Amino acid sequence: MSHRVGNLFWSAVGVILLTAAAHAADKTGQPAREAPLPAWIGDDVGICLEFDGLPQNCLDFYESPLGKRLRGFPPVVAWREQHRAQLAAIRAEIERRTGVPAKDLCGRLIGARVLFAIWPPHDPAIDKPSALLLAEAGDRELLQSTLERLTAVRKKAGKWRGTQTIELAGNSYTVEALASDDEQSEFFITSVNSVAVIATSEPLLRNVLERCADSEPRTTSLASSQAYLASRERPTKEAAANLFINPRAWDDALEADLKQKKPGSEEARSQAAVVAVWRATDYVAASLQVAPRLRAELAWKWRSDALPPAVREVVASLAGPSEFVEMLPADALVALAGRADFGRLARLVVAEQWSKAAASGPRSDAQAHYNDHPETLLAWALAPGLGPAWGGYLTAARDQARAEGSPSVDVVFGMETRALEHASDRPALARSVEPLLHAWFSAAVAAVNRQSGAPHASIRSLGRSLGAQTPGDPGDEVTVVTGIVPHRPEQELAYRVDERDRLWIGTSAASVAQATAPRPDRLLDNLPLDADRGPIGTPSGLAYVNLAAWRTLAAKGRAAIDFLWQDQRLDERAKERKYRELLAVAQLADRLLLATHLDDSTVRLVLAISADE
Amino acid sequence: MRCEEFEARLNEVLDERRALSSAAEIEGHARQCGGCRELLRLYEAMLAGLTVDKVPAVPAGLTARIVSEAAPSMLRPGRDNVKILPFPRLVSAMSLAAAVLLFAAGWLWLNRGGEPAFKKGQAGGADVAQADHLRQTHRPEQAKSNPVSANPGPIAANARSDKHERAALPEAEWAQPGTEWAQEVANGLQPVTRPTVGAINGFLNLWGIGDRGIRDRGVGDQGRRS
Repeated sequence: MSHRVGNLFWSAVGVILLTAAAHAADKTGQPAREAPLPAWIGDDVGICLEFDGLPQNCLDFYESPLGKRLRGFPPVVAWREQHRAQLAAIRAEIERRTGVPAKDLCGRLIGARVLFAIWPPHDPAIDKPSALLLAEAGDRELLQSTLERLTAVRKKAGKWRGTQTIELAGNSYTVEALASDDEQSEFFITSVNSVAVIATSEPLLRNVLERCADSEPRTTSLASSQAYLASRERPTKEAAANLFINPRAWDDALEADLKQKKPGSEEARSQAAVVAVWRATDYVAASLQVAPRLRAELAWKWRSDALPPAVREVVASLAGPSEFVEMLPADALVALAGRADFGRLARLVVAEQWSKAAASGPRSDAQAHYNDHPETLLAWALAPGLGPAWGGYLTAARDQARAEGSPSVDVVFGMETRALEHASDRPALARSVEPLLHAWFSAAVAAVNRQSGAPHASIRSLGRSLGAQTPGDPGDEVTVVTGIVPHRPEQELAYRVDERDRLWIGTSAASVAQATAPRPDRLLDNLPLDADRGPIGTPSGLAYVNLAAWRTLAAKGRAAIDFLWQDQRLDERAKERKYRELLAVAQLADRLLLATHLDDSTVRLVLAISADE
Repeated sequence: MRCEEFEARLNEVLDERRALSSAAEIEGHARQCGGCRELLRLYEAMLAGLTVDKVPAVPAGLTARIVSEAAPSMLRPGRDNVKILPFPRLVSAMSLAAAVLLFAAGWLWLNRGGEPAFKKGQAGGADVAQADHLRQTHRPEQAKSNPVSANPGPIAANARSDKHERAALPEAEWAQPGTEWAQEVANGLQPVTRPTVGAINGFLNLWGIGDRGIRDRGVGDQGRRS
């Protein structure tokens, strides 16, 4: 982001915060509710962005724990101090242009509902996109005076094109035509009761006026669109903003752009795939909630049968809940989990490569590629045994009696495995690999001890109780290797294959043993989502950072988190700086979550940032 | 000599333990062909790296000790006299497979950019750079004296031009599914993103906070003055 754009962005943030604060001090009457704003526009709209209760949401965010922490965040404090004069200038400019004190802008002028819509150009080569802004003001008189002032300012700047009156259904609307600074665009401005209407074309504005004159929403309005209604099936009541993208409106533009590409070129092929996926898309919708937590949600809905086969196969490989999400502990510092049918993906990739190779030359060339790179074939051959569920996490070490110099955290990674051949009675891949790992680590331990001349390294197997060595199925045991990690003589490596053929690898025996034990405190039950976890359910994928736990760990001293930069060859000063940076960032929020749920026709993505009081 | 024959012929010469300078056809072809020249330099660098260290002497009785020490380690601790691996040959085969798997993982990691590290008749830039580093580290004097080995300048130039050479190759030789897909999606969606950004910018322009916005109107100056 350039310096200028960055300044503008922060300026906008500043204005929003200031106006939200002002709104708190000056609560004006709420406007009378008009018909839903989406009923005023057609269902051929390309993108529709709606804000609902913007002033209140801004205020809620300002007063929320996250907002308070953001205001106290040192870089933000410093920035506000540094740009105090500029912020004052922006407030003055807002007042000059609108005639409204900045503190009143959000509550009285923008009001409760705002809709911004974009229509694609009919001919992208010569036309411009059309855009429309509908903003419901809390104060109708203030709205009128503000629009008059805007018109006057434009007149003074020589950017006024004229006035016309439109008569519709017995109502008369005065429309002002203004030009943009570069005189490349025109804007048509009027108002309907307390709603300001600003459009980039006169026909568009006329169409809006016709629709708002109707007593009932037309069947061709956005509010009646099946895709739009489906996207709002699960409206987040607290959502401050909702975005709706109508793929059908952009079909022609994408098709026209595709035709301009050289047929058969790589660019044309890749764009054809994008267009095919776009055509299969029913809608893309997003929402933003700012209080009590910051939460963004994205939903993408498509018709599975219309997807290109390769994309459909990828979706099917990744779809479904990940069992590993249920295995993640609530006190994880960082957690990752996901689901991927690696065997299915491998088949897809290999088939794709072979078809490309066959198309580009004699079949022997394709075979030669794998002859030259047999390791590729081996990787593809093992892939069917991996997955579909996998996950890993990092927790503060639970073993209090840990040796000096050992890291203060444990890392655990687990992966579900299956037999390499489908529907065979052969053992799962983990069962085959486990003795191989044992042999390999045994050889490594023997080599290390031989080299050092002392029995520093060891390998031992522990029973489930981690106290008794029990005979039985090798998969029921945790194998612990010590002393083979370079520069970390006390570092343990532990692995286990559990009764469900999942391979677990961790940095201590205790962490691996606990990974498969029944969990009273699951992360899944403590996610910063709705009580019912909304549409996510059991996520297909999850990334989680517990900043509060990081703060707790860091509070024990820098040594507790020195492992983060242990291999970066930093001097003490640099380590101290990084430590303080981490502490500062960790103050911003308590938990970060990125969760996704994927089925054969929808993907939902949730990003949540929460902070406790 | 054709490029397809170059590497095989080079291997023959090396297998015969002959000096490369004695193979005139190889040197002659390397002068004319940039890709084969890089291949030759890669081989030279590898040989230089391999020969720079002395081969340690093998202690007496090493094999016997390895066998005697490895045998107990194949028994699982805590299960005396119970062999958990009843098929030693299978274990050996799987150990070999594990080694290959680790090698494959390393290979794939090195090739994570989507391009094979080394192809016949064409040297990958990164590997040439590594090989060059190896050569510079171990045999700087040879690098200076060898007429075939060039200085690092041409190597970097070759690495830069490698992408252009790659574009001319058949797609199946280098394209990997997933590489650069994000860029392709972004390019494909430009008919959507471009007008959207244009429309938003137009509205910002109307309110004076667009490209020619507040700062052009002196607000920034006003702020500084105040």
